Amino acid sequence: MDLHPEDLIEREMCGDLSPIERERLEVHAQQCAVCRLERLARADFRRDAEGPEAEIDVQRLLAAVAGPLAMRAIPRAASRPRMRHLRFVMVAAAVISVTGFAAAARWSGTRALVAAAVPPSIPVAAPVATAVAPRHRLARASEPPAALLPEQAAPDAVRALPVVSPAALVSAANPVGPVALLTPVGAFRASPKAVAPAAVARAAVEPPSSPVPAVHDAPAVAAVAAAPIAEPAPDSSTIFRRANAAREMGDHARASELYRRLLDDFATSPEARASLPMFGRMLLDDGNASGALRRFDDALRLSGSALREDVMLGRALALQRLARPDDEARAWSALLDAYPSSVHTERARRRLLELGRR
Amino acid sequence: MVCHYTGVADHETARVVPIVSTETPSAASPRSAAIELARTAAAGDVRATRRLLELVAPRVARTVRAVMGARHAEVEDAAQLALIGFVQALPSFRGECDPSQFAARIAVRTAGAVRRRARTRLGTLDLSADVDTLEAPPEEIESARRKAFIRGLLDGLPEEQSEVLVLRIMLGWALKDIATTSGAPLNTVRSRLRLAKEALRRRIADDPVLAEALDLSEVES
Repeated sequence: MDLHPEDLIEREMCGDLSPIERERLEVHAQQCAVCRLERLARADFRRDAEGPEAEIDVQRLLAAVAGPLAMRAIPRAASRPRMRHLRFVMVAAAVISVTGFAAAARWSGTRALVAAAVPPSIPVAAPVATAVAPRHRLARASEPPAALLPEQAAPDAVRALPVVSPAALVSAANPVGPVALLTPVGAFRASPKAVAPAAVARAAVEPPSSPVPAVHDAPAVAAVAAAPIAEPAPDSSTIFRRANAAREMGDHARASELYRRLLDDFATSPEARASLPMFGRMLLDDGNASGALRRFDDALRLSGSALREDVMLGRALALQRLARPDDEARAWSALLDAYPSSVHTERARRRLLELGRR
Repeated sequence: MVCHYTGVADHETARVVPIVSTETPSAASPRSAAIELARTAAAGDVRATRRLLELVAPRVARTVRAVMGARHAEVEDAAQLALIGFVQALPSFRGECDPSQFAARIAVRTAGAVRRRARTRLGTLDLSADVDTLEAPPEEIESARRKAFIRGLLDGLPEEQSEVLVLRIMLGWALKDIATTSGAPLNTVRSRLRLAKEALRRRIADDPVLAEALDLSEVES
């Protein structure tokens, strides 16, 4: 039987190839760069999936989503601060769904159903959208209603609402829905059908003791939704402390994000300057030599002398990785000149010898 | 018989256990405990939802890491969004495949979207960031290059082709499983994979320097 290479590859994945089939696959792979790459890449990803880095802190991950999903069985204290806004989005979404539905209902002539229950305007949508926007740049009022579907066509009163749509937030993850992760959404589905998914999801994760807010509870829910706005933003020392903690725990992605935030939002703070050497070293350890070099250069320019020796070492190592031998040699020499009795002296001299400079 | 190396989660160690599954995910197969759990969760049972999340979380996390790279700055955010998306999508789960496969597909889409957004925001990603080029052996650097190449290709493909490529190459799924989980006919999946590989071939042919770096310079006619 003459098998398509895909079938041969699949059987190879299962360790189910006969010697003849294996030979045929090898011959094909010799001639086909694509299949050769596919097999190599598959092995690469498989090694990753089975390697030590595949270890996953499931409980931590679940704790992080516990808030957004309102799973109260998981200790809320374990929830990461960065996910608070998502939790907030879910609450806000409920409010917006209710208010939007009310507005749409009024527009479509079913005013009688809700008019008695919902005030003409509920001043909650605008502050809600603004409050959640900073980190993931969720939808804003000024953005075009790009995801508006035909059945979503709503009057200006509804469309103008600066809505953060929960459907947009998760629709990218939903294979049955449109893909629009965190993309601008100018309006939500102004029909009961559209309200339903959020309600269903909420019902799926909330205990029976916490009933879904009814339409006439909208102002009360709005008050709940508004609560996180009052939460003070972390200051530079808090971000610095969190970044260092994340780095020490090996969560370099999180640490990197926090360091960047510190440098972006508090560029002139002492913490930002102090973070440069350790951020640079972390990037260097993570293989991002160019990023590390930038941080080390900034550190030499801005920081005090406390970690200057280490910064100069890091800078030389970054230049080594970037294969810039002339600059690297100058960096090692500068280190030797500035700190002749440094613990790095021997390393610097050895490297300079390798570079043929001393 | 099908196999995939991200096929099952060992919930004690939260690590991948390579499996060879004899179960064909189809509507006619007996309802597994996981499918029942998913149905219960979709009906609003909080405990079932939590247990289900514990079941699928390792696979979701691995999928996101595969698509984005383990050291991507937003990998954890993407995993969280994927889990939230999974719970949101549970009402649409028809039980035709394992819930963890359903979750993995959601994770593929979520991670792809987050990655594209990050790429748009941050510009070209540093391909060397996935490996310590000073300390790593050459094989590891080559491996990182290949993975980065595949990930880079995903951004330029139509979503269906990109998804098939991820499920096939990154996650090692059988074509039949991809068809079942995505609800597409098997021949459609084959066609998508063929088109994705054609794009891969063009990319290799268009960039001889990269092809040489990947040791792929012998492109067939």
